Amino acid sequence: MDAQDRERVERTAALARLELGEAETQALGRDFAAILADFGVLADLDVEGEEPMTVPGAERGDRSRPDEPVPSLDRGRLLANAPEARDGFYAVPRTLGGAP
Amino acid sequence: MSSPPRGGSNDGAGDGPGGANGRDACALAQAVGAGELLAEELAREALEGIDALDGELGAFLFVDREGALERARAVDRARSTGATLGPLAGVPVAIKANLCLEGSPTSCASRVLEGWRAPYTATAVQRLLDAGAVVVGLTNMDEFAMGSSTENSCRGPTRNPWDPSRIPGGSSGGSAAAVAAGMVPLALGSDTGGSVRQPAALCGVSGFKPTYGRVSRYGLVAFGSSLDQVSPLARSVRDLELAAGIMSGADPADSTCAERPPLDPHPPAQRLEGLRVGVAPELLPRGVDDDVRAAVEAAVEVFAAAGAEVREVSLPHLAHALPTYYVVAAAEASSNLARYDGVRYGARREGDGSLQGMLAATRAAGFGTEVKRRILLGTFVLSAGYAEAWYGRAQRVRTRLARDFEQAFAEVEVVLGPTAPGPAFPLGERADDPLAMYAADTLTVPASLAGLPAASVPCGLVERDGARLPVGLQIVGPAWRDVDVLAAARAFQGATDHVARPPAFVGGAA
Repeated sequence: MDAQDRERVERTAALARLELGEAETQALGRDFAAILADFGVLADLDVEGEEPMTVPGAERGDRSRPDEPVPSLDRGRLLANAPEARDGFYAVPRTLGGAP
Repeated sequence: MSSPPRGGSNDGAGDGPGGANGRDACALAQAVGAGELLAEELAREALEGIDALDGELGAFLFVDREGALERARAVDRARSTGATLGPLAGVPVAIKANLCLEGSPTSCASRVLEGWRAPYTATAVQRLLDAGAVVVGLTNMDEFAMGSSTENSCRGPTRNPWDPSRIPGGSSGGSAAAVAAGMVPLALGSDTGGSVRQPAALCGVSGFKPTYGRVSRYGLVAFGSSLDQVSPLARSVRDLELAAGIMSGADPADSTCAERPPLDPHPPAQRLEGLRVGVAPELLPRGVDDDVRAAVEAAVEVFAAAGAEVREVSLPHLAHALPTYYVVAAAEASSNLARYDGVRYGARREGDGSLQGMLAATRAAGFGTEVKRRILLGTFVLSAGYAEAWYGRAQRVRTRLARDFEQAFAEVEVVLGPTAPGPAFPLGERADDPLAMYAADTLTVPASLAGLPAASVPCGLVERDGARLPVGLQIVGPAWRDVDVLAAARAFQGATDHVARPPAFVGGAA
C-alpha cells in the first residue's frame, strides 16, 4: 500500500465514522486499491447523455398515501432497544457545555 | 406464456425431501386443512429435524420453539372450530435474520445488532403468518447480506448439506441449507445481487427473486434499497409461486412497492411448447466451469425438446454488470448502515467518551471486515470529487444494462443461463480474496440491476473432489412477468427429476 492508498482509506474511513486499527488500515487499504483498479473498466464505457437509473422501473414516481393519522410504533418498545435512554429520549454523550 | 394449462401430476412437487414425508408446502397446507395432519405435529417434526441436523450445518441463528408451537396450536384450534385455514396453514417456515419478526433477534448476523429485538413484523412475514405459516426461526446469513458464502456471519458459517466442507452460497445460505436438508419446506431470504438465487443453486433448491417492487421491503433490514427484494426458497417451484402470491401486492408502508394486485398463489401449470427462450453468450462467459456450462446446455435442450423455440440474444453490457453492481450496492449500503451509531440499536462502545468517539468505536467493534470494506467503497464512490466518476457513471451503465434486457425481451419471453459460474466451493477458499468472492455474483447481478424477476432451479450435478454438487439454471424474465418466469421454472422442474435427488447429508442422517 503506497502513501496515496493510505491517505485514501484513512480519509474515507473518517467520513464513514469507522475507526480502523493499523492492521485493518493496511489490509483494507490494499483491498480497496485492488477493487478500484478492477472496477476501473467502468471508465471504458462512453455513457455520456445516458440517464442515471436510481431505482428500476419506469412506472414509479412520488406516491403518497392518504394523510390520515395512524398509530406509530410504541415509544417505550423502541427505547427498550437503545443502549441508553433517559426520560423517554435516547441518551448520547454530552456534546455541548463541557463536562456534566 | 401463451400455452394452455397442462394439468397433470408431475409438477415436480411432492417428490423428494422438503417437509414431513417429503411433501412440499402446498401439499402440507392442504393436508392440515383437510385434517389429515396436525400443525403441531409438523412443528415438532421441524424442530426435531433442526435439533438433529443443525449442530453440523449451522443454518439457524435463532430457533423459536415456543413461538412455533404456539402458532401451530393456533392453526389447529382454528381448524377444530371449523374456520377456513390459509394457504400456508401449519407449514413450518424459516426466515432470514434480516427480516423483522416482532420480539425476535433480527441481528443480520452482526455484532452491532447484538441484543436488539425487532419491534414490529415485516409485511412479507406478516402475510405468511396471516396465511397460517408457522415460523420456526431465523436463519444464518452473511452480515447485513454482504457476501456470497455465509461465511461473513458473526456466529460462524453455515455448511452445505451436500458437502459440509463447502459453503452453501450466500447471503441467504442458512435459508438455502435449511430447505436443502429438509428442515423446512419453505424459507424466506432476501436477494440484492443474487443472495437467494445463488445459494439456491449451490444447495440444489429453487429460489425466486420477484420484480423489484413486487414485494414490500417494510421490515427487511435495508442493504441496497434499489435492489433488495424479499425472496422465497423451496424445493418445489409451486411453493415459490405460493409464497410469492401470498407476499406480493401493494403496501402503504413501502412506497417502492408497486400498486399492483398480488400474484396468483396457485397459478395453472403451463407448457414449454412455443415458449420463446433466449440464450445469451454473455451469460456463458469464460469463467463458467465446463461441466456447469454442459449442465445448462442440457437444460436448454430440455426446453427445445419440449417444443420451446430457442434463440440467441445479445446482452452487450453484461461484462460491466459486476463493477456496476458493487458500486451501486456499496453506495446504498454505506448510506443505509449509517444508522448503526450506538444510539438507537444494539451494542454501544464508549470509545474516548465523546459522541464522535462513541460512534466510531461502536462501528469499529460492531461491523465485520466485509461490511467495513463495502462501507468504505460506498463512502468513497459517493464522496465529493469522486461521486460523478464512480456512482454517477455506474447509474448510467445501469440504464444501459436495463436497455440490453429490454431489447432481448422484444425477441424472447425468458432468458436462460447458469445461476453461478461454479458449484459450491470449500469453506475459506475465497475468504481473503474479495474480488474472487464477488465473482460468484457475476451472473445474478444483471437481473438485480435491471430490477427483473429471476428464478434458479436445479438442473444437474457436477463432481468436485468426490462430492456431488448441484448446479442451478437461472431463468430471467421481463419486469412484472414474474408468472412467466415461475411457470417456465415449474414446467422445467416437471420435465426433469433434479428435484427428487436428496442431499447426501440428509441421506446419511435419515
